[in-house]
Amino acid sequence: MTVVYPESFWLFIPLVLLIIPAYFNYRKGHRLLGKLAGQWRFDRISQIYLVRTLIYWSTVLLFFIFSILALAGISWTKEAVRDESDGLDIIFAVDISRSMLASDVSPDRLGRAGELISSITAGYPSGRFGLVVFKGEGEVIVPLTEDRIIMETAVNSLSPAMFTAPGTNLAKGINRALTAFPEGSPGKKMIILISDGEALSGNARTAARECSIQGIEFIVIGAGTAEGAMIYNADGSVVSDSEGQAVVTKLDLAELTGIAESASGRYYDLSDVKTPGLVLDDISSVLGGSGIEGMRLQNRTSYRGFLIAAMVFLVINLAASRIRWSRWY
Amino acid sequence: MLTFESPSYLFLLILLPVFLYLRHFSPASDRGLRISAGIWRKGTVPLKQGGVKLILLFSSVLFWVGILLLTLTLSGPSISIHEKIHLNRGADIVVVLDQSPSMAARDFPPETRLDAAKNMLNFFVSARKNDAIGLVSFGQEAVLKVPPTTDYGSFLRRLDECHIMELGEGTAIGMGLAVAVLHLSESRADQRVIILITDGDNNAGEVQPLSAASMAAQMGIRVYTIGIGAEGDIPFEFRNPETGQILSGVLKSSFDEDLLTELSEMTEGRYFKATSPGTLESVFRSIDSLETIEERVRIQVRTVPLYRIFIMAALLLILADLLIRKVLLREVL
Repeated sequence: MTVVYPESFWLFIPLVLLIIPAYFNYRKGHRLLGKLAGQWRFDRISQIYLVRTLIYWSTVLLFFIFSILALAGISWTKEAVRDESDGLDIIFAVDISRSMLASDVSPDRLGRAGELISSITAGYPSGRFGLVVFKGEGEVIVPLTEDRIIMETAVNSLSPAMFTAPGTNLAKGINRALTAFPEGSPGKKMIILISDGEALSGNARTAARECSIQGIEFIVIGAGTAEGAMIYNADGSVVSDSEGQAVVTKLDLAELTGIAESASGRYYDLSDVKTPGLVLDDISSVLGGSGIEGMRLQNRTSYRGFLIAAMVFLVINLAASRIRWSRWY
Repeated sequence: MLTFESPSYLFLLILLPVFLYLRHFSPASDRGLRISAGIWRKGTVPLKQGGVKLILLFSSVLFWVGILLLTLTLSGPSISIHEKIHLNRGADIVVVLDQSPSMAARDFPPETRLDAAKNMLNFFVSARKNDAIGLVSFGQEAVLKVPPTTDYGSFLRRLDECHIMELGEGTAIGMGLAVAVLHLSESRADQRVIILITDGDNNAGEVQPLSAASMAAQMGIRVYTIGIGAEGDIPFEFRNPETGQILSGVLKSSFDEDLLTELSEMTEGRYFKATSPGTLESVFRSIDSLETIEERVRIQVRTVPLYRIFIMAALLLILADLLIRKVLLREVL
């Protein structure tokens, strides 16, 4: 089961608050009916009113619950859709924040990222590649091209000094990569995000989900280790925080795997020697499609079933208010 | 364009008037409790409910619009976007642009030669559909600014950033051509083209223009050369990017037409002379017509589902109706 918009579930919290007006409305109505109906039939009317209120508010709540489930974009199955794309366009989105200079991965995270990109471009010679770098903002360094020379040059010059934007915003990097695909290309699209996951701002999972919605393949490469490492300045001194403590940067595995899940993509570890081969296998499988020529598989969102259920409860709610309960009590 | 994935669900809209009747107009629609008003004041009790009725009417409108949206949601509302997908490959074109100080000459009033060339390139690129276009700039040195790409937005942004004397004072035509040839060397396009735009003689760089053109010829790359600007004394003015100083004066303008002609003939290209804005435009139109490839396209329809927007709007409307009736008006029955 895949939930495309899990943040919709937050709506359940204000929904619980509906119980408050429901309770006060019942109490107010109960008192008022006592005054209007008179004591001689109050017990009977109270019973009817309680049943009506319970049915009314429970159907209202069920209506909202199923509507929220419809909003969440829950998907159980995949469906085959027509796919006439040809070839593959790949954008590398590389984090060039200072934490990528940590040397818990040899020679350092950024250097290893460059090696991985070179392996992939060499292993898939017929592809078109682009390079986006990001810190607090994202920027296209190499627009989508077949020119291997400029890719190699750009990859060799990857450094935090390429871009002055402060901070780290994974979402900005992903969004910039999304817009780096030119229109009119017949190729499938893939984004390979390389980062240690240490973001200071932005909602990367929402940005990654947009890739999934647009049918863009997504691979996340985690740079670094859970133990982490210190970052060194150009003069060899250790980067320290405002309290003078040495800054240790660690791989945020949970964040990166979460991003990969949001984009229906895959996660690989940069330090694993198998990673270039696995990414190239993924590229081959993307080019191979679903196994059926001219078709690809995509998530099938089942919002309609939930919506029908919600509307049924609304009809019950309307119908229940039309019934003359006094005939049966 | 708004479309519906499953329009058969729209038939459910027929039920809306039925529900509307049952709720508001049927004899059984009155929800009430029979009480005697006479026991209070020995007569009828005048109740002024004009405002309440108006609010109820407004609330009902919200509710039924919400229901309408939910019913429409069942039919799968989405926006269809038609995209033109190119099935065959276009040409790979690299523009080699002179940024030497002489390109600041104002013989394309009110623009400089560089500005005029940039404007025409803008126009030229906008007319391309599927050709990968790259940009090499040269002065004393040469540099690839944009690799051949169909991302025209990136190309135009970087073209706009080109300034006079950014790469030094000289005119390294040979270096510019060599860089362009290098970056076209691995291109798999059937047509590979270089457009050289310059206004001067080769006076810098380690590669001679004819050597670079010879490499291009061997690789089957065509070179179109454009000699830009009028000859004679031309006023110029520009800001030195290193010092910030504004330099102005009169330029004795000339360029080596023989060299530009030879470069183009070696590679089966053509030489064009652009002495005015009109001729520069016609030069680009000529190149545009020379470099045409039969275009094969298919239209791909991409749909963006709108069901979430519809459901959200419907929920808000129905919730508003509920709160108005139960909280604001304190509806009991």
